[in-house]
Amino acid sequence: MIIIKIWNYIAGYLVVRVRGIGLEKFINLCSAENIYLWDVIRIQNTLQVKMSLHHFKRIRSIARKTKCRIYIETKRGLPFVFIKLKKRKLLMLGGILFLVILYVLSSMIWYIDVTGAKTLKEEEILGQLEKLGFETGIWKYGIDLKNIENKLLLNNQQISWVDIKIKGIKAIVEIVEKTPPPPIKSITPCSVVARDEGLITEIVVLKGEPVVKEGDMVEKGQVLISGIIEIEEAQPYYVHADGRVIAKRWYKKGTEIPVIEHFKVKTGNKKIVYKMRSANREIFLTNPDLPFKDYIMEKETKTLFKWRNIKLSVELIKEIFYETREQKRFIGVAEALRIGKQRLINHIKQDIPEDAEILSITFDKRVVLSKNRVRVDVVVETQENIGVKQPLNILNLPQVKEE
Amino acid sequence: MKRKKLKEKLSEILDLPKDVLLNIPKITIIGNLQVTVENHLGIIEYTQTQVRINTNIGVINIKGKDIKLNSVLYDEILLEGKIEEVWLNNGEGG
Repeated sequence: MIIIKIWNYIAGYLVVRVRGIGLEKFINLCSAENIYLWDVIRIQNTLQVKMSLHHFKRIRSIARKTKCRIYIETKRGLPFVFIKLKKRKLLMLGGILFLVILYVLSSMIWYIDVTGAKTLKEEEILGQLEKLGFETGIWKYGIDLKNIENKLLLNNQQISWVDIKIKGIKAIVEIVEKTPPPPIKSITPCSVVARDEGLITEIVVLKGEPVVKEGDMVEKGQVLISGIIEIEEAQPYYVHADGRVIAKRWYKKGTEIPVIEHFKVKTGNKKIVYKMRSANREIFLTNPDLPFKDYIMEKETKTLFKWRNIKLSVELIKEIFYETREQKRFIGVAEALRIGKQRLINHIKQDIPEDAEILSITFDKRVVLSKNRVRVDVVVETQENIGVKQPLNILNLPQVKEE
Repeated sequence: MKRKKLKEKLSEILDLPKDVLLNIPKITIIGNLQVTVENHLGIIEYTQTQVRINTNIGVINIKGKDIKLNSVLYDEILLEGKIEEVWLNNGEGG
């Protein structure tokens, strides 16, 4: 029944009041004439009737026959809405403009997503696509996707497969990169070379020919255990060299610490700046001018909406600027030295590999009076395995020379 | 009358709906809310408390409150309201 009601609304209908004596006759004649009446209510000797707009002309003769009087109470439905709209041309224009803009904007590409890029950078691929004429803001119809895919394939040797799909206003560029060469297998011929320089203290050969001995200083990249085994009067053969080469290494670092410390103190004044970020554009929501020069900034980022993997690309950024004032303080030589030591140890730990064994740490302290500073140097002696496997490049091997 | 009986028998044999074949009304009552009369011959009286509908087999009387004719078509009348009584007046004096 709801369909009928919708249809009546589209076609337009009238609410008519019929007043007279032969109301039943009126209804019967209407139904005999195939005039559909609905929602008929009788209030004393008036009849309220709903009827289709196009039936109204025919009702007059029936009313005359039955000696009833008809009054139109209300007009409902789309035809009357249109009549009203015709009077309000600007509203119509706005509506049409809205539809046109919606259509135009939805037939452009607004986002390009690159998936599957591992070694290649997404920006690089986007840049290449832009050169090929595929960028955000282009008309999505009539793009020769096959051509772009092929060109992208030809331009990048690392790519083995490309697929560009357009979904609504979004283009998805799917890339499959060629798989990188496999890691060194335990049968591939290789040598053990030095990862870093050091003094060899211990060498354990599991396979291969040791080239260096204990007490040797080695440089970075030097072969320690060779995978080429030479036999007299025969061709050399290649093995997968393996072994542990323990070496002593020294890490040096120095720093200068001023005896007078400068530090920032918050004055209590602050300013909060709100920004909105969408993709790479930032929009200031508050005036970004700062009333002070020195400051510490704290940043808070809020993503407005996040559900599973769907993330809105709009972010709200709140930046709090605290005004600061510089203050000086004499901290003394002992304190400066302590700070220097602490800082050096923290720094040097980043250089030393985790598996290294630290043998000794020696500090060298000096006071540089001319600069009001103390100088601290540190030497850390470690013992670590410096051997790394490096595959042999068989094509460049001396076997060719022997022939 | 003979023809009518023939049709009645025919509808029984072929298991056809009688209202179609015999041109008699089909009255459907849904609870005390709705009454549908198909194959009617016109409305005799309509007020909010009483409706009388003419049919081939006599006058159908409906009494109730706030009766409203939901739709009036050439062969079907649908009325809604608080139905209290429905009875048939056989015009042939039966």
